[in-house]
Amino acid sequence: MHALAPPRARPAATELDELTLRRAQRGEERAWRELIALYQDRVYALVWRLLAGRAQHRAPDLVQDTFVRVVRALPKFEPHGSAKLATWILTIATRVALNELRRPDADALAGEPIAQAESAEQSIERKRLGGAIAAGFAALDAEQRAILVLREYHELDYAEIAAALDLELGTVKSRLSRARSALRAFLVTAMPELGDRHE
Amino acid sequence: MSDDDEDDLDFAAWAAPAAPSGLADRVIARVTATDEVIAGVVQRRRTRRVFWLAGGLVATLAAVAIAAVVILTHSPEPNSAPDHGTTIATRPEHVVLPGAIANLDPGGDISWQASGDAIHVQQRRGSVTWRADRHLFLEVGAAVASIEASNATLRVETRMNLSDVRVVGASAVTSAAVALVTVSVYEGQARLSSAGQTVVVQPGTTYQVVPGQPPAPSRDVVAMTVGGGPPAPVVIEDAELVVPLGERIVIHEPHGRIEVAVDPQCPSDPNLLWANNRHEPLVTGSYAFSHTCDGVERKGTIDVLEDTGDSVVKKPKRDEAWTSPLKVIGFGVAPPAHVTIEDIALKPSDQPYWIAEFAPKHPGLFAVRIDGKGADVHYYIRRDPAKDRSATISVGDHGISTADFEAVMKPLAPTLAPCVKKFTTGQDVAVEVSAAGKMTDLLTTSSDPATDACLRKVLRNAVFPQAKASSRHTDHVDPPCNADDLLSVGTSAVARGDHGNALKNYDAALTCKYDIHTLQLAFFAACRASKVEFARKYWKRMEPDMKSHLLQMCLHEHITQDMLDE
Repeated sequence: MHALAPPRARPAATELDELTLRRAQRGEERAWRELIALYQDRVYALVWRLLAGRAQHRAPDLVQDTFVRVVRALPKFEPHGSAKLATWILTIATRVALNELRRPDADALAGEPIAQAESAEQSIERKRLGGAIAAGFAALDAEQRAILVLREYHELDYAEIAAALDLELGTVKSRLSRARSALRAFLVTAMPELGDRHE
Repeated sequence: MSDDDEDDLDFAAWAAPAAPSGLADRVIARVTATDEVIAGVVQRRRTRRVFWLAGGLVATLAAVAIAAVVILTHSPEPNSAPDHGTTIATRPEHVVLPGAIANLDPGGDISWQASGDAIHVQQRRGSVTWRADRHLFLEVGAAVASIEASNATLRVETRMNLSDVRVVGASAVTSAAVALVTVSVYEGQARLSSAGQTVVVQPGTTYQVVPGQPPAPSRDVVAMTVGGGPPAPVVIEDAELVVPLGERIVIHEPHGRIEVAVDPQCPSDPNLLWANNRHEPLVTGSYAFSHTCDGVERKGTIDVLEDTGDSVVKKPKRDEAWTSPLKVIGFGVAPPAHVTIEDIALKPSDQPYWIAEFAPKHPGLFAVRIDGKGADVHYYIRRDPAKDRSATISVGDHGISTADFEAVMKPLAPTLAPCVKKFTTGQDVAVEVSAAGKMTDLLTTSSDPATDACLRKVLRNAVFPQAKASSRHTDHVDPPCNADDLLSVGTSAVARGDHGNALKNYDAALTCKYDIHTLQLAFFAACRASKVEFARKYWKRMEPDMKSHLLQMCLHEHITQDMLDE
């Protein structure tokens, strides 16, 4: 599939500086704002992708819920602990989104149109690919999707994903592998030329 | 992303939108609204509880009064630092503020107001070196800039920009408008704001602010570069007990304070790491530690118990080298056959105990082993190395003198050095010299046969003076010196707050290759490690202008110019 792959755009690995974090931990509103401003796009992207094909319209509310939880739990966050702040926030966001998907009425939303971010610069071919990827993710079960999103879009390593989803390391590896296979199969089906180019 | 089979797929093609605007406002509104509700509920509950508690109040009053006496007796002295004030220094001045220390250069002019866990300072003129406690937020307003710091050491200089002085007379610009502010951070971080922009000043860097401009990095060399890097476990120098990694030990703490380090037994990282990863003495409790050595993470637990004795006991479950017959090295103590438990003042026992200096770098720490399978190993924590040395048995009275031994060893140092090049801190060696002046035995702290063989090869040809008897001597073989490596190790140590280790490396770097920059670093580390004798040694080699610049950090550590001039 590499014929379609330009250099991958990685999200900026920016972390909040320690002083602002400590200010936020002691409840300073200005620091909260800085924290939210720094992480909001990453959290929104995560939640929005996890909800693809299910309840993407709920993303703004769930991101709000995430940050409310983050702000409330912030005094307990250990800056020198095992998790980086970004990973910790993404973990909370993942759990909020997965809880939403586990709601009894969530299945009723299956088949909801998958939103695409608008980008004028994207070529038609790339838009097609984006749509296919989105549909492929939507076809995965919630946990596989979470694993693949955290891995591919947020660069979490196996251990971080395992901690975020409360899974064994081996389970993460096997589910990630299955998610990749499923996504590949879906994409080759949706865009046969991908398979052709790969050969 | 290094540990899986990455897909080549262009995942970025599925782009996500940005977060909706106004998110922070909505989050904060929800948080604060809920806080107010909770506050109201708590207030109501407290009101009810007051009445409920009132009934029992009289009954418990006497007991409370007694408890209060006890508590007051043991309370720390109240902080006498005034919560507000002004100081204009006419000479170097050391001002203790609530949670912060200010060392003012002559001409320094500050006002402060403490509130809660923050202290707000106006630094109107002059230069001040600040130390902010980790529980405090220090906010310094300095002319055109504002600085925030916590758990940091920094220097803030405000001065007239001489290039603009002519303008003052011509256009009556205010003094603030021509002030130049320089901020150097030595430890921790500081946020520096000016002209609507904020930068985080990292340790070892300097920023300047000119009126109307955002902060800009300065090319001036920071007086005391401490290096950056991620936070690392604090390293302690004078651990009373060194814990082998991978083991669980129990400490009976007789005197209320013991500093424990973990010996990672890692050739590439000889540092000793804090067991509890906190810059505090251990108190009663259980402490987990871990350390990665050559890619392998090892974990252990240290249990610190109440005061129940004066020894440390652990089960002998060390690695192979330790469970095999103990290799006893003489290092300043008697041969094992002559040492019993009584000799080092542990509880009397019929069992033969052997002694070896377990941590040669930490005088006073000895390992004692019962010569019996499955027995406990007792570590005796010695708190007075000088006194403890009196318990050792002097050997080799009739052999060659220490001076004669050293006279032979010193010229051999360059030849011996390559033998220990793989050990960054070198190796301790014990050499037995026959009456005929030849080496008859060699023991090292290394378990590396190649190192031993190399040292033997060199020392086999050494010719010592003849004497009436054989004798055993100890020495330390340093590895070949590389000033850059030593500087690098020292700077890493400073970044971890391990100033003792930093000093050791900087001092070695100076010996290896002298330069002014290293001298400054060594001086800084000496002050931070409170090693006055080292600081004095470097002080005497400095130019006067360098002295005035560096003195502040020593004052902060209560090392005065008089002490340095002695």
